[in-house]
Amino acid sequence: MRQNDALQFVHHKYYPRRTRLCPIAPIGTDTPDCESLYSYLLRLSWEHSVRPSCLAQFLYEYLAPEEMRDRKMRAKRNTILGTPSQALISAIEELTGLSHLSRLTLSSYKPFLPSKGQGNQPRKWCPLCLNEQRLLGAVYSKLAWEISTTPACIHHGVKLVSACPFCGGYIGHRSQYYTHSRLGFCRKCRSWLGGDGDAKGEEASIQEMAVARTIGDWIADGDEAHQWSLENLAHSLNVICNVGFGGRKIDLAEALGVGKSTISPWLNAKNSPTLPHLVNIANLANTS
Amino acid sequence: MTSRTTSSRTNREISTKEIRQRVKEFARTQVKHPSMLNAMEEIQDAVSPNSGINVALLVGPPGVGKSATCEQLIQETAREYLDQLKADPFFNPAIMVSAPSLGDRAFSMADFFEIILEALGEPMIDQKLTPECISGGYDLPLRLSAPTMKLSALRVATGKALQARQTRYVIVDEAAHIMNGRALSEQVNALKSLSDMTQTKFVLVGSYDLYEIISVNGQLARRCHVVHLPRYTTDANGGKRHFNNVARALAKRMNLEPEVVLDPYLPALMEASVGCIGTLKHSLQRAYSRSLRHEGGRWSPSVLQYSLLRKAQTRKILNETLDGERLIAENEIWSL
Repeated sequence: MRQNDALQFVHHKYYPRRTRLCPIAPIGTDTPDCESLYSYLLRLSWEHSVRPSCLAQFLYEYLAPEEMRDRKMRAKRNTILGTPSQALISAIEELTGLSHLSRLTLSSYKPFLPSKGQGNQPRKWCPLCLNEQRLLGAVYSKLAWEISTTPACIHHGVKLVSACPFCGGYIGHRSQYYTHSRLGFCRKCRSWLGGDGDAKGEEASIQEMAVARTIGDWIADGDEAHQWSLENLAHSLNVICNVGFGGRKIDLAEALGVGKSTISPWLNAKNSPTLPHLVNIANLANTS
Repeated sequence: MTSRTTSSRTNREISTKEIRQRVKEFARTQVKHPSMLNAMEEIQDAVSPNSGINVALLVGPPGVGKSATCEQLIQETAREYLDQLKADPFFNPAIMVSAPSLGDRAFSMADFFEIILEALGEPMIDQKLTPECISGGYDLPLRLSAPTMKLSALRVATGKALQARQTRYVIVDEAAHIMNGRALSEQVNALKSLSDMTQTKFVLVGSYDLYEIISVNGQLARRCHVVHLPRYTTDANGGKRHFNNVARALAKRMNLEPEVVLDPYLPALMEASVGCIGTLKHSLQRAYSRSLRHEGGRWSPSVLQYSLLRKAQTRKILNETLDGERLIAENEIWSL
């Protein structure tokens, strides 16, 4: 275990090894309202009275103390929290003494997530949820809001928004926003993202709500998602194709809104559909 | 000549590494004795959650074993909370720090808070934000260079760190350094206020000078409790017997040839160490080390003689101790 024990104190002799980061409990685990790791780390940084960027540097030094000597690598430290790796999650678990923090990420769905592009999507939120959280004194960002495919809030039946109600600015997933951001506030104009309090939100369609509920169920079943594999998915897709479409791949492709050549590798377990397609497949099968 | 040859030959048989190891083991030896146990019990009462005490002062003559008593307290607390310590790796029921001595500089609460945070294992100590930044709607610009802002940030961070770790008490050794500050009342009031905020008690450890703290103000005097760790004297109840028992117990830990028997020298040892167990132990440790290094592991009274404090040193300690004891006697407890 790597720890910075510059000074030795008497009590160190008699206590088992203590952890250094406060083990604040993640919010809403095993429910569709599960907190995201982004939100957890922001709350953790304020718990320790430091800026998120400072926590980023601490974690980076913990993960790669050698690399911190390199100027170029030092410059990269702020990006570390933008792309949570398994090593980062393990480090946070080690430093807090908590386990299963990977449930706060989409790592279970990694095979179905695009390898690029997610970071360019603006962050989304439900203003009504934010206002409720503020009243309860626990503002956080939900994992479902991190997924670009999630269109709506399952509790309020409104579309998620991605622009500040005051300045119209977007909050990106990129690190420079991440490391200085504060939950529930716009980075650019410093206004409350829940609006002026009487915002009603734009009503979501039935289809959007179905998609949001599917994603919510997946998040709630985070651990079960570890059993997902290309083979299991291909098998399910072949069952859908045979039972629902009489084995006609072209009909299945049409129902999913993709070309026949796109679904062939999915049916043969050669590659995986991305998350939006996965949601469509789940809705098609009327199951998640 | 023959003696020197024998000595140097035996000397080679005990390696430097082994000597270091044996002296280290002796240094680690702690003998619990009645005065220590009484003081521990009194401190435990003072730091219990509903004692109404913010600050306990552990005072006593130099070398009486105040630090050793505190180490025993920490050990006792670790034993008491072992299950919780295992279940919650962030829990830190008690810590022990030394108040920093800053040479010419006056005592600084900022340095003190940093030491507490370090002892708690708190990370990112030099990056703490001010309360305005934390409670504000947005992270305001921070200028840590301003000393008042740094102090404010560290005070809040220390309070949060103590609360988050459910720390029951903080032992501050060498607490006399706190009195080197320009405004003793401000510093002690800051400790009291931190204690009120976090429910963490402070145990200040030092010589009789610490007694001054209770005269800072009435409010503080009400929230302070003085624990006296006295030396052993011939006129106190069983003092001589207790001192002799400790000396014999320590002698048993000295692995020398022939076996160390201190009985003929106990009165002289009591006088030379002013009846203080810590001073006695250090004298015996020096004698042990000297016997191993220069006498090939052979015990002789002359080694002990050279390891005792000089008379001038003893006189100085005795005078300070007598002054302190007078102070305690003047402020003795009420008779009912």
